[in-house]
Amino acid sequence: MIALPIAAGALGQGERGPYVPAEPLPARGRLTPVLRYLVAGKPYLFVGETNAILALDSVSDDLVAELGRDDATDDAALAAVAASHGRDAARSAFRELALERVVLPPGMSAVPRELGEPPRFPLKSVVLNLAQGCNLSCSYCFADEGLYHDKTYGMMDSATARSGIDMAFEEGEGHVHVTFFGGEPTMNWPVLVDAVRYGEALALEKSRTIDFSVTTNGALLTDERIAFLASHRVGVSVSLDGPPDLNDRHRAMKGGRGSSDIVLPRIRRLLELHQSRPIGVRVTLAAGNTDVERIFDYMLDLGFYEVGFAPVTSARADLQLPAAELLAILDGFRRLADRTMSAAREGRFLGFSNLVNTWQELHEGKIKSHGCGAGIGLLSVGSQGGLYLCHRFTGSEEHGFGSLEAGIDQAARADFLKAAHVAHKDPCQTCWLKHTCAGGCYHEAWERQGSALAPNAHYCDYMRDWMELALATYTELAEHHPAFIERHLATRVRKK
Amino acid sequence: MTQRHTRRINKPGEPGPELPPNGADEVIPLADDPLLGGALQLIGCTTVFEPGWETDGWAGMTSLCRPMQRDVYGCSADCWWPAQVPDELSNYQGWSEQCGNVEKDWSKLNFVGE
Repeated sequence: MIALPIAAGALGQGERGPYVPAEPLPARGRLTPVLRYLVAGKPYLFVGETNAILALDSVSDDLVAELGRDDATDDAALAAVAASHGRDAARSAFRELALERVVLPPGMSAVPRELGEPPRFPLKSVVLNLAQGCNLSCSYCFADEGLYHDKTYGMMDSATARSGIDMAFEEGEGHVHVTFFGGEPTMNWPVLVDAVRYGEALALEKSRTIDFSVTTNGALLTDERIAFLASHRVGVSVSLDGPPDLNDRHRAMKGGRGSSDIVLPRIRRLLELHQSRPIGVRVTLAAGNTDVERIFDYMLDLGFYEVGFAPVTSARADLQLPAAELLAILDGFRRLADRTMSAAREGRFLGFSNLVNTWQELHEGKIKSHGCGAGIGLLSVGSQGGLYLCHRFTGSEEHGFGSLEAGIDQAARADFLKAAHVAHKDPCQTCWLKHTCAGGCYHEAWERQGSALAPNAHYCDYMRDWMELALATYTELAEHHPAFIERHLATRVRKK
Repeated sequence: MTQRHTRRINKPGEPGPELPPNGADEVIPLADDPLLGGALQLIGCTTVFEPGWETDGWAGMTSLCRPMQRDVYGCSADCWWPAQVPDELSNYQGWSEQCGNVEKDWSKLNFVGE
C-alpha cells in the first residue's frame, strides 16, 4: 500500500530567492533509482534505495542494462539475459537484484514512498550561540553579521549557557556534544569558559561524557585563550577563505578593511599551540572565489589538518556562485580528489574534508530520510534561550522549537520532521541520491527556494557529479586499498 | 542465500534513527496514526497476487503494508486481498457504502453473510 502526500505543509514560506523547480530524473524501465559506473573497467552499482554499493558480474550487469530499457519488463529482461548466460544464472541474478532493491516491486512503476514517523530523536548536539554579533562584517554572512533573523544584538549569559547544557544532558543519551557558535563566540569569552567548566563538572557528576567545539574567525584568540582551548580539548574550526587576496574579498573588518592582517598571526599561534585536537578550517566559496586547489595548498601550509569547502548560502545574486563557477569548483575538487587518491594509494592521508567525509558516509552506508541532523540530533540555542532548528535559523520564529524555559516544543519538532521527510520531495523520488542528499540543507533551501522544505534544485547536477566522483574514488579504495579504509575511515568512529 | 552475481563493498546501511522501525509489532491507536491523517491518500499496490503482509515487494520485511488500518479500503477495492476484507471489486460491491469516513463510520461497515 502506498501513501502519497496530497499537500505537505509549506512551513517557512517567505520572500526569498527565486524558486527553481527541480527536474526529476526520468524513470528507467524496471530499475529503482541507481547509478552504474565503472572503476578499473569493472561495473559497479550504487543503489539509491539502500545506499549499497554493489560489484556486478557480467550476468547482473547485463541484467541491469536490460532492466534499464525504457520499455523493459521483468520477463523480457530475464529472457534476454538467459539467452546469453543461461536461465539459472539469469534467474538467480534477478533474485539478487530484487533482494538488493535494484528492481521495482512487481506490478509497480515507481518505488513506494516510505513515510516514517520519526520514532525517537534524542539530542546529540546543541549549538550555543554565545554571541549574536560579530567583530567582522563578512559580506556573505548568513547570520547577517551575527545578528541573525531576529536582528537582536545579544550576548548569552552564563545561566542560559548552563541551562542549554542541562538540556543537552536531559534530552540526550550518553555522549553530549556542545558547539559554541555566533556571531563570534569568542567575543563572549567568560561565558565560554564557564560553560566548558560547568559541562565538564556535570559530565563527571552524571558519569557521562562531553566534548566541545568552537567555530571562530580567530581574531580574538590570545595565547592564554588558546591554552585554555587546548587544555580542555575544545575542537576548533576556523573560518578563513584563503590567502589574503582571496580572504579579504569577503571577510572584512567593520571598517571594510580586509581581516587577514588581524587574524593570520593569531591563527598561526593557534596552530602552533593547540595540539590536543586536529584543527580544521572552513572555507566559504562565494562568487569569484573558485580556486580551491590554491586555497587548499595555502591552508595545509599554514598547518591545518583538514580543509572543508562550502558554497556560500545567500539570497543575494551577486554573491551566489553561477553555474559556470560551480563547474570550476567541481574541476578543482576533481584535481584535489586525484591528489587525495595518490596519497591514499601510498597510505597517506590528505585532509580534503569534503571528500573524506563523503567517503565516510558511503562507507557506513547510512540511509538518510532527512537532509541533515537538524531537529533530529541537533538544536540551536539562541543568545536569549530560544530553541531553533539549527544554528543557521537562530532567531527565526517560524523555525523555532520552544525555549530553554518552556522546553523543547516536541510537537512542532515532530511536525517539521514529518514534513521534511524526503518522501515529501517529489523530484527526489527518482534520484539515486534520495537517501544520501535527501533534498539537502534546509537553510540553503529557505534562502534560495523560499521554503526550508523544498529540495535544493539548484544543486542537483552539482551534487550528482560530485557523488559520482566520490563513488569512483571510494570504490577504488574499497577494492584495492582496504588498509586505508581500515585506518582512516573505519576508525573515525563517531561518538554517539 | 549466497549471492553470486552481486557483491556488496560498503557496509550494509543502518537506517538512520529517523526511519521507522519495522512496524509489524507496533500498536498505534487509530486516531493517533499519522498515516491516516488528512494529508494522505491511498493508492493501490496489490492488484495481482503479490507480497504485502508476510513480505514486502522486495521479499524483505521493511516495507510491509502497515499499519493495517490503512488497508481497510485499499485492500478491498483496487488492491484486492482476500484474507483481510470483503472483495469489493466483484462480489461485495456495497460493502462499505454507508461508511464514508472509516475513522468515524467504521461501525456502519456491513457484514458479509456467506
